[in-house]
Amino acid sequence: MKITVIVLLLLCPWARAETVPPFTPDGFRVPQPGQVLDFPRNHGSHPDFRLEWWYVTGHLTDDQGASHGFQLTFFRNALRPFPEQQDDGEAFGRDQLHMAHSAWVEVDADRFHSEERLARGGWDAGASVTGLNLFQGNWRLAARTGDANPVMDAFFTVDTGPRALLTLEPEKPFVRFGENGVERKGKDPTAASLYITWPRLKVTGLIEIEGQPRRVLGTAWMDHEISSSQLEAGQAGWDWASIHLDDGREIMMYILRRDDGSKDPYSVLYWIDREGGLTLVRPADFRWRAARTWTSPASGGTYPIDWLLAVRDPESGEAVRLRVRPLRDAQEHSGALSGIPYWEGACVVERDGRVVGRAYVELTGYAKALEAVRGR
Amino acid sequence: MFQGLARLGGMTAYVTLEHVSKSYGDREVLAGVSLVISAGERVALMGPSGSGKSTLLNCLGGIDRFDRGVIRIGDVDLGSASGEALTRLRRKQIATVFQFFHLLPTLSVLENAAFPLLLNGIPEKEALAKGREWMERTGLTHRMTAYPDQLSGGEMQRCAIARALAAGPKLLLADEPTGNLDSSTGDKILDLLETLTREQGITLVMVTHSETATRICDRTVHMLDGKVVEPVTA
Amino acid sequence: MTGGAALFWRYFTLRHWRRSPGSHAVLVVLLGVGVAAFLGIRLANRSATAGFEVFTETLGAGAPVTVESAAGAIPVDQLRGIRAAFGVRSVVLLPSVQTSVRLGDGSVDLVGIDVVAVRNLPEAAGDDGSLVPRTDAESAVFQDALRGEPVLLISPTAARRFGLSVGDALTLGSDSGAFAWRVGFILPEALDRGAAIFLGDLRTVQERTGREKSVDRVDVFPMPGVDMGESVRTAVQAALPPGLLLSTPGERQSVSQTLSAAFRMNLSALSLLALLVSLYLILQSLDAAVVRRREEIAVLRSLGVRAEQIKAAWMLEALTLGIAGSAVGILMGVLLARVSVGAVTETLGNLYVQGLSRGALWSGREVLTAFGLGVGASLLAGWLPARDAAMTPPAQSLGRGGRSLPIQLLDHPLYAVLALGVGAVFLRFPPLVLAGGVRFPLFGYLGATAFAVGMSILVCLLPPRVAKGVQNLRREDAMLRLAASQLRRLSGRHKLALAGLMIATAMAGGISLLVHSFRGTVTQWLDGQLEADLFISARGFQHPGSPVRIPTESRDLLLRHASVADAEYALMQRIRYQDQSAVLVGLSARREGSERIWLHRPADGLAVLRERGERVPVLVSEPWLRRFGTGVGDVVRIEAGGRTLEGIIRGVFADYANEHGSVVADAGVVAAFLGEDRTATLGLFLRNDEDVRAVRDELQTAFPALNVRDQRALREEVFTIFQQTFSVTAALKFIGVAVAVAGLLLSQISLFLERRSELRVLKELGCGRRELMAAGAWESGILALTGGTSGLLTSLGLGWILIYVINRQAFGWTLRYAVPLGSFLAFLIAIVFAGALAGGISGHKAASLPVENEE
Repeated sequence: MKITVIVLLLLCPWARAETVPPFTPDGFRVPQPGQVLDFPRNHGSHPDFRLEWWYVTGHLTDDQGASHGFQLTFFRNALRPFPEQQDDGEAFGRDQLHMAHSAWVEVDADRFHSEERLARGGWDAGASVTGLNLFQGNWRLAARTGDANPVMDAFFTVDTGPRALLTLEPEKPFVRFGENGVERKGKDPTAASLYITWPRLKVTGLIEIEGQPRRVLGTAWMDHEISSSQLEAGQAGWDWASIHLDDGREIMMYILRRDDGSKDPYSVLYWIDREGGLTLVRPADFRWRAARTWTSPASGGTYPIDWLLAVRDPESGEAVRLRVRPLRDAQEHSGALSGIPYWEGACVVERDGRVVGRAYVELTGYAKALEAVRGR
Repeated sequence: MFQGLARLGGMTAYVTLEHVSKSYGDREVLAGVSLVISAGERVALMGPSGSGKSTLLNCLGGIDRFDRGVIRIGDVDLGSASGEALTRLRRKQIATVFQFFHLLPTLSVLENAAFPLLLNGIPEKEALAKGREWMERTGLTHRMTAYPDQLSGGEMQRCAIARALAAGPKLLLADEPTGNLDSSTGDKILDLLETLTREQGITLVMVTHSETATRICDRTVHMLDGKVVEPVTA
Repeated sequence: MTGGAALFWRYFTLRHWRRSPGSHAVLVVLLGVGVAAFLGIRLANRSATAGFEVFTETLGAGAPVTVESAAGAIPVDQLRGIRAAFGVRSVVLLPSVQTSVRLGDGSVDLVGIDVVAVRNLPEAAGDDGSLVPRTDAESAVFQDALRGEPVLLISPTAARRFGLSVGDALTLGSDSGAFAWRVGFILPEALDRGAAIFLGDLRTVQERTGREKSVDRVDVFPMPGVDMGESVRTAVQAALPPGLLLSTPGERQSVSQTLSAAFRMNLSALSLLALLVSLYLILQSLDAAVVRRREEIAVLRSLGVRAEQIKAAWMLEALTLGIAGSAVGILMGVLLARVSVGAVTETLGNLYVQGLSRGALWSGREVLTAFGLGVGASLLAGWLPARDAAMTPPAQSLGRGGRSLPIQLLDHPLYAVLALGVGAVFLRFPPLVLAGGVRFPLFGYLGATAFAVGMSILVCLLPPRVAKGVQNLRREDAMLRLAASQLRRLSGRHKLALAGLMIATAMAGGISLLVHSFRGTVTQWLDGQLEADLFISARGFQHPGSPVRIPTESRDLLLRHASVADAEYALMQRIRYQDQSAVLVGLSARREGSERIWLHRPADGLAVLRERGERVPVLVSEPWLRRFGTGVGDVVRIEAGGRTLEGIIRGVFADYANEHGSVVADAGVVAAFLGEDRTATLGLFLRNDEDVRAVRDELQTAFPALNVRDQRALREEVFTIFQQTFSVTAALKFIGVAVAVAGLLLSQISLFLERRSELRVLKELGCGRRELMAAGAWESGILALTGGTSGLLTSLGLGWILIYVINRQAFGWTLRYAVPLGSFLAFLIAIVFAGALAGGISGHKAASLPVENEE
């Protein structure tokens, strides 16, 4: 993996050419190229950065053979810059705002549930700074062990839908995207993130739907992204996808969309091989096209949906065309609390009409502007 | 026997009383009254106060019960009829005109006349139309929308007559219908009663003190101490 | 039949109403008064008590479950334990603090909520009536509040009452000092419950009121679909940190209900009285209408209308009256509530909770209940007149003498004996125990009712005798003789009027007797309570459960003050005892209260508290004794926060301040047990040469966060409160009797109408208006005298039942039975005068009856 990163770095001479400021103008830390991160500490929270999220998405099959997709996300948003932060075990903190989202799609029953929560850092919501330990209300996501690739436990509920107690076990060690450990999101050097991902987690657990317990088994993807700015001026939103291919490889891709609808040059696609090695594909070398749109009755946003991804397979060298088809059109978060509606949906991946994998796709900035994640 | 007598006269007996008696305590107000009245016949009942004529009228109207004897109106035997049957009889076959008119103060003249029809379940529009015909017959068309307290005595009695006859009764009981009117008005009312009962073939039993009132009647029955004092003639 | 009924309604009811709109309007209004009194009292009462809950309601639909501490506040470090107790169940937990602060000259409630957590309420996402900010400016206010800026969210009522608008600055004072705040947001009108609410961010409110380490309660809002049924609550309760209690609104309300139960019960009795009286009034009015329209009914009967149809038509009329009257009554009731809620809130607030917020003035359920009761009462009252109407003979046989209401109940003294016997049995039954330990003396009320009914039957035997007696006084008065002759053979209508008047008088008298006894007892008790020269409490100290206390430093300064000779103070804490709410008092009494009312006095008085033995010596109040059934020599085991206090009861004292029941121990023992020695109240005895007023002013200036009152002022205040509390009672007493007298008037008019033939004779005999008025006045006057006197005599019995059965059962109070002789006498004179006046008016009216209506 590290070799790949170094190779990539050599391929990008401009990445080293500029200096990255240590802080944003309003006092938040900026991801530094080459920054050494120690684990498991860095699976925990980074209150000195403005934005941080832990994002789990996955596909499950229950003991009755039914398919499910789920999402569990913890967001942290610092309300004041690091030097001014004062919360010290306060029950009612003022430094951090925590948001948590969950979603569940019952593919066979054709039902979708989602829930949002908002809390101040303190007695009822928080993120450990020593390791992965997140809680908000009765939701939890925490490392069970103290190693760099720990087994994790998650408990969450989804509105009136299921509640789930899941164990997540890395099948591959985590990867860090980006050049020199920093994933650039725009020309502005502060628009960047530390991007840590477990691309393949084995999921086992117990869910309860309408009072009925079911055992589940499946595969999940987990991102941990730390930044102080996710978008820069001129960027309208992003399309993001994580694909689990049945052959044991994964693809992570995001398109940063500019206000004029064009693909931002900072968009990327990565192939992750069976050992966790990364292959970067530049925006010019892959295509992501939507075949149709779906309009949300709730937010009014119109989302392009049902995509074709055309990219060259680094293993075989041949061009592949993957169809990423949503398992259900309506998989939108209303954004009632955050004010940011977005689409986050379970998809199936087909090649030449044959299912070759599963995916989760995230579409933002289609229903409302994304001021909250823009560094100002 | 009495029916037989009536038939001999070529008429149908409509009201039959056989030995009707009634007492209030030990005072006998009706002492074996027998009387046959043919359909369409007009009969005046005369007698001094306390002779029993009003009680007889009430018994005919099914309002008072009698102790002994038989009263038959048409084919209804009043003695054995249920209260419900009596009410039906009062509603459909018998009508009363009072000395004091007893108009319903909240209803207009027309509505007073049409009210019995409404009671019989006839739709309002139809009832009022029929009421209007009776206004014409009783000469009240110009007073149709007035209320009872705006009428003269004669007009009130006309209205009462219209109300009594509107539902098409077969028997009209009149209790001193002119007793509260001056003589010329009373005459007109008597004329009206005669004309209308004749036209409609209604049997009239009229209690009166006035000899002149008897002129519209086919015969006069005199009562004294609860008894009919003149023989029944056909 | 429906067609027929409609016909009658259209041709008669409606026409009559149209022909004499005035008198029918009066009828509707009179019924309306009954409904209004009922509704007004209920709404006002509800509104006042709703103030307890107004805060939760403001935040949404009200928390279905709340976590409170058994004793005092909830330490913030227990919050995670509370979260853990709910386990996998998704609930929004909303901690809050509530405290009284100074605003200008008065005090207002300042509530601290978590401005972020509140956004998660299931209701909060709604389009209106939510706390979700709708504009960027509003959003900024929430952000500011979260950042710790002193921003307040206030209710529209608060804005109106204090003339505040967004951006205004204000200063709120508390123990910790005075702080500047800014109005950031006025809550949507839809959230207004008529209370002045000041909301701030929890943390900021904590910081500015010295409450950093604790919250008062945690409201629990389950997310949609989350079961909070009883079994779940039991499981959660078991998992809660020790000392914390889970309660539902029912249970919680019962706590506040217990607080105001005395008041509620009095008001309920009164609203019942209002309803009874209006029922009686409708009966009178409809009956009068039947008499007036007798001829019409007779004609209808002649025309072949069946008796049942007549009855149905009259019931329909009663229904119409009921609907119209109830509608009017509801309007008037809401208005009445608006006016009286001020009074009720003040009295309730003053008695139990200072500065209690005013609650909602509209309750669909109360309105529906009032409407249903009004219509029901109208139908019930219409039944007798309708039956009477149906018994009217056809016109041909009219004029055979008057008819009277057929009321068999009032004709047989045997029924009276039966009713009195049943009543006596009822009085022996114990009270019903409702949820939350509220004791409802149902059988006491039933017994009182049976007693009143029995007496009302007996009273009907009196008028002939009274009439005879009065007649003997003025043998030559012809009109008196005439009136007496009427009363010799009492008609059903007479009896009804008399019984109604008697019951109304008896209830009004019984209530005055209760109030008088209460007042006398409390006066004596206060003499024993208020011995210190100065009384001091923390501003906003409302009741034993209220979190504000006198800061320890302030107390020590006060105790060391040069003018102070001696002091006694009390620690107070609300506790749970045998699952009911009670109060633990820690008393540092250095002087023996000479006037204290003891039910069982320990040999050495209050000094017993300082004895040391195996068990802590405690005293309990009379309500405690009655609620928990423990008396002298019994052991009391109080648990709070994992500690146990085991006491032995050494004495029982009378306490009218709270009906929860108090247990009193030495202040030191209680302080050790609670781990808190901040006092709730402090009594200072000044050196003999000190000017109380001057010292009071000095201390008040030095300690702005405290209320410093001198003994005299406090006494005055207590009696003002007392007066206010029962001013509603007085007003309702007046309404009750006024309506009863109006009933007497109506019945007298009916009687005259019914006796029209007799009236003609009287007129022909040369009776003029004056004579008829005299006859009426005598008749009604004698009835009023009989009804009033017997009513007051009955009230002595009712008062006895109220004091020795109902109050004792409900509140555990023993009052000193005292008869307000003066007020009874004045009352009697007023009734007789009003009765005679009513009779005179009816005679006046009789004289104007047109002759042509007569036969």
